[in-house]
Amino acid sequence: MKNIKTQLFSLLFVSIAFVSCSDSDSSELDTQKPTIAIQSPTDHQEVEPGSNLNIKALLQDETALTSYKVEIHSAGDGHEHRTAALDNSIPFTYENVFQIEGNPKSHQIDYSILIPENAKEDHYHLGVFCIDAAGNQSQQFVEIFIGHEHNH
Amino acid sequence: MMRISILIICLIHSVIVFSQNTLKGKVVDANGMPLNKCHIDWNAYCATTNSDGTFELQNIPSGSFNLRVKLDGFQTQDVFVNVPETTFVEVVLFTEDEMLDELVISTNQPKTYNGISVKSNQIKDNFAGSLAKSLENVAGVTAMEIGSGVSKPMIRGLGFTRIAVTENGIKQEGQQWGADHGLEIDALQAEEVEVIKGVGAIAYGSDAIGGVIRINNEKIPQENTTSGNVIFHGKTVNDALGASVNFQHRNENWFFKAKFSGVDYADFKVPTSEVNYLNTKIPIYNNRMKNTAGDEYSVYLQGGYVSDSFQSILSVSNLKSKIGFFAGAHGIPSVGAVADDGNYRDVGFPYQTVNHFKVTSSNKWKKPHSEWNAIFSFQQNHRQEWSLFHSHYSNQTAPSVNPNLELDFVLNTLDSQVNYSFETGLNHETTFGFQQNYQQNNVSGYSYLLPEYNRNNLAFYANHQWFVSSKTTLDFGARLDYIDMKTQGYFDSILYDYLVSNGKTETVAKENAQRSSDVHKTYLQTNFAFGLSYVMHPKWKWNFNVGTNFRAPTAMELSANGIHHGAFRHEKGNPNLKVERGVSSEIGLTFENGNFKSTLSPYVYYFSNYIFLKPTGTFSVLPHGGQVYEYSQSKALITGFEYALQQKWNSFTLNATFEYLYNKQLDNPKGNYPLPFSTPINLSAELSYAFKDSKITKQSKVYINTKWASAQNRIAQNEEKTPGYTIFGAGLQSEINIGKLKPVVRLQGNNLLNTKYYNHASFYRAIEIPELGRNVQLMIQIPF
Repeated sequence: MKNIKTQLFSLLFVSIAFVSCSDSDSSELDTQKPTIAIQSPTDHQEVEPGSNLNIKALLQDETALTSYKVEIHSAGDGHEHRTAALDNSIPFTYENVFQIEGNPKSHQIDYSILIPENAKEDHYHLGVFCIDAAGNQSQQFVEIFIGHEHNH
Repeated sequence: MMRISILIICLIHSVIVFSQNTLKGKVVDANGMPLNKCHIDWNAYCATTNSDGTFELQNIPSGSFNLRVKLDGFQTQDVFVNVPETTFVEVVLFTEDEMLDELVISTNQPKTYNGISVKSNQIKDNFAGSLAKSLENVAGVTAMEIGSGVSKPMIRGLGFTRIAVTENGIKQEGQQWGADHGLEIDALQAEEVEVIKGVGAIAYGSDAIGGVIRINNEKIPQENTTSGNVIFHGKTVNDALGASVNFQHRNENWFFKAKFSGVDYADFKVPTSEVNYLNTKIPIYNNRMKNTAGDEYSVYLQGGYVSDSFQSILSVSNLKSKIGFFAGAHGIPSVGAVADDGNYRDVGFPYQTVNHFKVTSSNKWKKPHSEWNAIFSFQQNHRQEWSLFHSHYSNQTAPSVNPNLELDFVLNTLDSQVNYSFETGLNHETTFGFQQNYQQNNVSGYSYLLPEYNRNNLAFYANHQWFVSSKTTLDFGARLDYIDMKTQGYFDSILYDYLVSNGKTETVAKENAQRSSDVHKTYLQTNFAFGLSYVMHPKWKWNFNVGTNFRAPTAMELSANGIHHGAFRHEKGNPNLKVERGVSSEIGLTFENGNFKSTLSPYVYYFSNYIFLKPTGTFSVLPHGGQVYEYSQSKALITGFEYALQQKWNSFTLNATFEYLYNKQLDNPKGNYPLPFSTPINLSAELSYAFKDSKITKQSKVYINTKWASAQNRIAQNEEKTPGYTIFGAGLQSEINIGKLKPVVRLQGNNLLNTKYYNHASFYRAIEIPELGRNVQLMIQIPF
């Protein structure tokens, strides 16, 4: 019986050797996603149509940042807040992709966009997406309101 | 020359005939009842048992050899005889239901592949809602969960179209639709399941790379019997209530089976109070995932004619289900949609309905040493996704008919298979086969995901088994496949106008609005396989096989372009993909000594062009797009092993399985990342205690079990790491003797500590939805 057990363990050992490969490669792989800290706008911030929205965010990655995208879209998912149904307002959308030159480890976003006069008063999501050199992606969202947020 | 050889053969034969012997025998079942019409043979000598179970072989030569005893519905057995010393043999045949470890003699030729048989009772013992989940106890099998009651099986981290699921020989279709589509098979109605890991390409063709889950629902009832059972089951994790009835009858030649199942369940419970989708914290009220309730109904009818030389079975089945999608995770993250409305059983938007209809006719003509098989089947997969009309494009209006029908797929599949197998002596068996599979996929709905396509696959294969000795079996196979795939292009003019109005260039708008393109591809493939099994010692058995395998690119992989809401990302097909090809090899080593049994199966797969979704690092211009994931090909290696052991001490039994999987891409310029959805190292163990039978209870046992999985830190690009976990379960079961009724009661608890953990293979992992919380489940089965 003892002999059999020895054989068994040696076989187990051999098969582990058969399948085990060097795992050293994994440690060099970049699996860390970039981080995004949105400083402006803040969550639930109100923005007047016709005014400038200041977008500020800090992007960081332990290897290299390559590009980011800023997106604003309606969050009106049946959560109705319509004030004037018969006006000429249209749902506002914004989207822009930027390449980050020189692949730095950290990048500060700081720019303004103009919210059109006729932007529909509604809840919106503002999202910042960021990709690093390895293709790892992260995103961060804040909810904003164009116009005045009405109580339920 | 020819004449001389014939002469020699005749001479040898006449020499043999000189030493004439007669061997008599009797074949009985486990209860000692004689079995009629059993086929007994050795080389050219054969006999059939009479109604009293007896047979007689005349004019057989002296010597020692194995007689093979076969009867449909029973396990084939080889019996060793030594003529003329042996003049009478009594053979006991066990039905396919009876457990192998109860067999005293088991001299069956071992298989050259790693097949694990799961009997219907074992599925009921491990019943966990879906078939894939119920098979998780098989070493190497995991279930990729995509919501309540929906899961897909994976073998060694290979899933979707990389494994084949067959029922009565016909491949279950519908998996091509993508990840969020489960398997439409009622676990409680499966009579017998075999999990074949690794080499399966010769008999099953494209898709059988990781393995095959073979379901057999064509078990023929014994003559002049009527039987059936009723099952009631319920569980606490989603307040499921279900019932299943089956009934079967056979007179001499005709039989009939009817099975009905139904289950209705509420929103499932998770040990978390919020999930995270696109960085929106979505609250989970009362630990219930809102709108994950659903129901499933199925009906299965089968009739057949059985005789010694011919059998024909017609099966018709229909499975229908309606399953809610967690509203917070469909389309735009929505806090409002997950609010508790006091009703856990209602299904609101968004939800999916699935209807799977299948007719199969399987026919067999048998002669003592040859057999024709012909199977014809039609199946229709119809899936709809319903969601209150919504659009990411401001210019899209709701359609006038079915305004809330988001996606609608109808996949029709016709299969025909013919094969002929014949034995040359007792030692050689050859099979020639032809298969055709024709598919047509139609789509509609206000959203667009998957292209319409027509696919035709023709295949020829041959397989030869050589039973070299009672210890050694060799297996050779070759297969030729021709696949013709045509996908239909689709231009989304709404999206085009939207993109142009948002200031995109015409080129960019066109590129993205072309949701799929006309692709016409033909693939010609040859594959080979070799298998060997060897009984080294009565206690040691091993098998080895090596073979090539392949998988034709799917319609999604060739031509998809757009956001896949089930997978939460922009996926882009590539019409230039080549057929995925690989070589795989594995060893199965079994050691069995009295109360100890252990099986070790190391394996290795090498792919010259593994197809998978790779992040491109380029942003999608579509709203909510994130980066584009493109189907690309890479050399890849998958290796690992499974180890299963069983030890019995008196009334105690320990069963344990251990899995180790390692995989990686081999030529990714950004680094050789692991492949997505890799199963982490895991161990499961169950200790059971069997009680002695009493007047009231029979076959009673209690058990405790545990499953441990390590953290998965070896991840593909842009995948999430998954922490490790340990969960515990316990259960008891017993057959209770109350008068004529003999109900079998199974009570089990899973994740008893209500541990919050994540399955690395779960799609919902991406939005931080953990696995199910504590679940207590009761099943009562009443046979009649």
